[in-house]
Amino acid sequence: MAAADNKLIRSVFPFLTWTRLLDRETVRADIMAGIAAGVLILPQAIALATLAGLPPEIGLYTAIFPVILCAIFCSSWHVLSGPNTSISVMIIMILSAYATEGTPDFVMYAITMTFIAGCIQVVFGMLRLGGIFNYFSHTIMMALVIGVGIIIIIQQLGDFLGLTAVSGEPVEDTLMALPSRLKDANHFDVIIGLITVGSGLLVKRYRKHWPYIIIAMVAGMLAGWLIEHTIIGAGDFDKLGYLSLSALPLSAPDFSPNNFYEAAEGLIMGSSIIAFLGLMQSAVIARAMSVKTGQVVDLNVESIGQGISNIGGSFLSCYPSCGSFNRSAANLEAGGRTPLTGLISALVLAGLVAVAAPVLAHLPMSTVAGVLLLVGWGLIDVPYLKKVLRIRGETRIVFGLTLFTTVYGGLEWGVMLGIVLSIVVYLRSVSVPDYNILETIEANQYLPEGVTDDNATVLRLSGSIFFGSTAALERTFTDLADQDRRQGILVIDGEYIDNLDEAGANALIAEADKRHKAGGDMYLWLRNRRLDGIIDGSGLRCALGDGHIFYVKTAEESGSLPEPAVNPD
Amino acid sequence: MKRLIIIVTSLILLTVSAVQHAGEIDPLEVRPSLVEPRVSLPSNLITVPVVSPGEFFVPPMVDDIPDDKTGDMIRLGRNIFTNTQVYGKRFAGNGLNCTSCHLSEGRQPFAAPLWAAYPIYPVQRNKTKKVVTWEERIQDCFRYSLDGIAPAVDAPEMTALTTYAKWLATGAPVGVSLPGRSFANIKKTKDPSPIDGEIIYKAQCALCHGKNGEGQKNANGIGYMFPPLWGTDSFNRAAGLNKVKTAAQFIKANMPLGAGYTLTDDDALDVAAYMWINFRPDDPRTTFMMNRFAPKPGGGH
Repeated sequence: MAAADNKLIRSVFPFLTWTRLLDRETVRADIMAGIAAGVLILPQAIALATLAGLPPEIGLYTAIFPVILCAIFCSSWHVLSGPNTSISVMIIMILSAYATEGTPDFVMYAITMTFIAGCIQVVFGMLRLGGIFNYFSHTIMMALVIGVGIIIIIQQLGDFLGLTAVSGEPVEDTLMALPSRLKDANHFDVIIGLITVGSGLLVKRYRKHWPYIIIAMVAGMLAGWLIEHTIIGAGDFDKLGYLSLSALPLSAPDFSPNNFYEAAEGLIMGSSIIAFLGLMQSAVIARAMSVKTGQVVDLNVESIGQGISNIGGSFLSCYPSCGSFNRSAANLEAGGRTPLTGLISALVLAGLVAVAAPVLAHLPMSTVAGVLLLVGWGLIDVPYLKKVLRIRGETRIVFGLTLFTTVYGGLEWGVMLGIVLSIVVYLRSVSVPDYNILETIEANQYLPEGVTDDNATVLRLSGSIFFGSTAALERTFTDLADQDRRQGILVIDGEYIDNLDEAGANALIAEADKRHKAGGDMYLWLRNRRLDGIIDGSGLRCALGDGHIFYVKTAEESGSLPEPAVNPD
Repeated sequence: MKRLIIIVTSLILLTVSAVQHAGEIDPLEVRPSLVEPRVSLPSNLITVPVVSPGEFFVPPMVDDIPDDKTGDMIRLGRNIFTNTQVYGKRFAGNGLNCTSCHLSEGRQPFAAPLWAAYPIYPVQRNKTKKVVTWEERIQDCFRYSLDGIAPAVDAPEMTALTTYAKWLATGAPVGVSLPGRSFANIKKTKDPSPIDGEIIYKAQCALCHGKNGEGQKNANGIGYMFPPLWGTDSFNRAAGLNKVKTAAQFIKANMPLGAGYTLTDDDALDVAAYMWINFRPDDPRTTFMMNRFAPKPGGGH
């Protein structure tokens, strides 16, 4: 296995790292976890495809082929990919503008989107941009997820009540129309739907470790079957229909002028957002999993792996997939150890579908809606919602804004606003350098010889001193001089300055000049000589004067010794 | 022998006059009809409607399907209609295609042609006593005649079939009961006898539909060339053709295939009665027990 030791080969074929770990016990644990995962995905695969406006077969294919590809090419050992709620919502939002749901055109567009999204993800991974998903605000991600949950619940009310919902209508219209349409609801649909949701919630409440979604689906199916065969005139509720599955459902993305050009704008925008959503969720899962298992996940390899599974999926009738948090967590809980679980789960699902297809044909649509209501409700994290709404200020505003945009404006706008807000929040937080004024003993250690704490101020600056933070920095200096009457000697403790750019250095030079003119002086402490380049280059050293810059560590120490464990506060 | 000569002569004469008659119409306005003009033979046993070119509505040709998204939908609808076992498999519970009854892709007059049906709906149906829309009517087709699952009114299959029907009815007047709509009219002079029906069936129908009504599959094994008339792969007890009278009306005008109007009304009723007494899937409108013990629907008139 010399090849497996080569880093490049390992990152292209991540499976080389785990295939040699397979022994009898691991394989057994993986097979057990794989069987559980394969059975559990069945209701979601059907329900999410329905949610996306695609035939259920596409959902099942998506729960089979990308899972296999991801097991081979993804970096994390526990992430199970497959159909995803946000991506399903995204698909129907984008594509309902270009084709009628469920038609071959709609499927063709979805497959083209899979291909484009896969390409974007591969490029992302190759450019080593996977890390940027660590900067996506967690608050905003939760807002998007909760928004998706709300959208799913509102969208499924029509199927749940046995009414025909207008696809793609604004949520407020659905809600407004609901009370007046309640009287037209199909009673049997409502009963079956209530049995599905009720059994699911009861199991979730009282039997935490049971798979509540599959139990809910079975309960709904049994209820439908009983009602149909025992009550006269109850046979007219909508059902899923016979599945026509193929072992190798070949397809291809379609870039022909007739089909692609008129939808190109939507497809490309939608695919980019889907690629982003997929990577974002995969990153979150990979991080959460590595906390639990200790496996370090390379987000770039993960990104390439997701991309390959989507590109491959687009040739096998799959719609875009990504890592699923719930499935991955369940996989870990079931004892899965390597991606072999994914392979097994795909095979189990394929076998299960082949056997159960005639029974699944009579799955009532209100049960599918009920399953989706449970899935949507599962996304709405009520404790988190309560927590975030208690926090005053920025977090709550950002959360509320993203949630509102997602639910009322659509997921794509929610994601775009989320990206912008993430950047804004990040910039806002770094553009205010952290500073505090040190007193007495703490201050005394920084005072140069001949300077006493009567006329000197010790100011500790930390964070980034860069073009974005100069405004805040200058304001700090002005406040210090004018309001606090600390106009004399200024000693800046810059031990914790991470980053200094030319604009930041200029701000310091300006302050030094001002102090010098007013008869004061300015000193600067730095941790080591890391920033010397910019200090010399910008002329800060000249502006401060000779011997005005001190280093906490001597030249020999810096870089060779480990960082001292100093608590900045 | 003498009678045969008279028939042949009158046939030739009428064909010639029909051709001449057709010549008077602007050739651009005339599209080939799938229905051959037939003669009326004065006989107390056999009545044949007089048909001349232009009497039946002529739906557009397949080549006229527009080359756009609507055209795609029409083509999908046509595929579902003619090859239900592949394109409409999700909702088909038995082995039939739509074209098993709606002959000639839904164009054949008196075989429930789509171009005559589409402009009629929404309309009150005797079967349900309710005003039903076109989509609800198609749902019943799937539920009963295809013994399957009704597609939702907004299902893509439904959209496709509706678009196809609308296209076939291009130019047809709305709300008018066009000639050729639904099935032919028949009059019964005696109560239908399944025993006589069996004799006629064995003589005239069994060649294609099989001795036991099992039909003949296509060479590729998907769907039927000649549909099964009863058994598990045929329409169920709630279908329109399970009514003796409706089945007889269909048989009279269309069966044996290509030789419609060769059976007398009573012969058609006898064959329909023979079809009716055989086993077919349960009526989904009612319960399992009712299907076992209640009388079979469709036997009345």
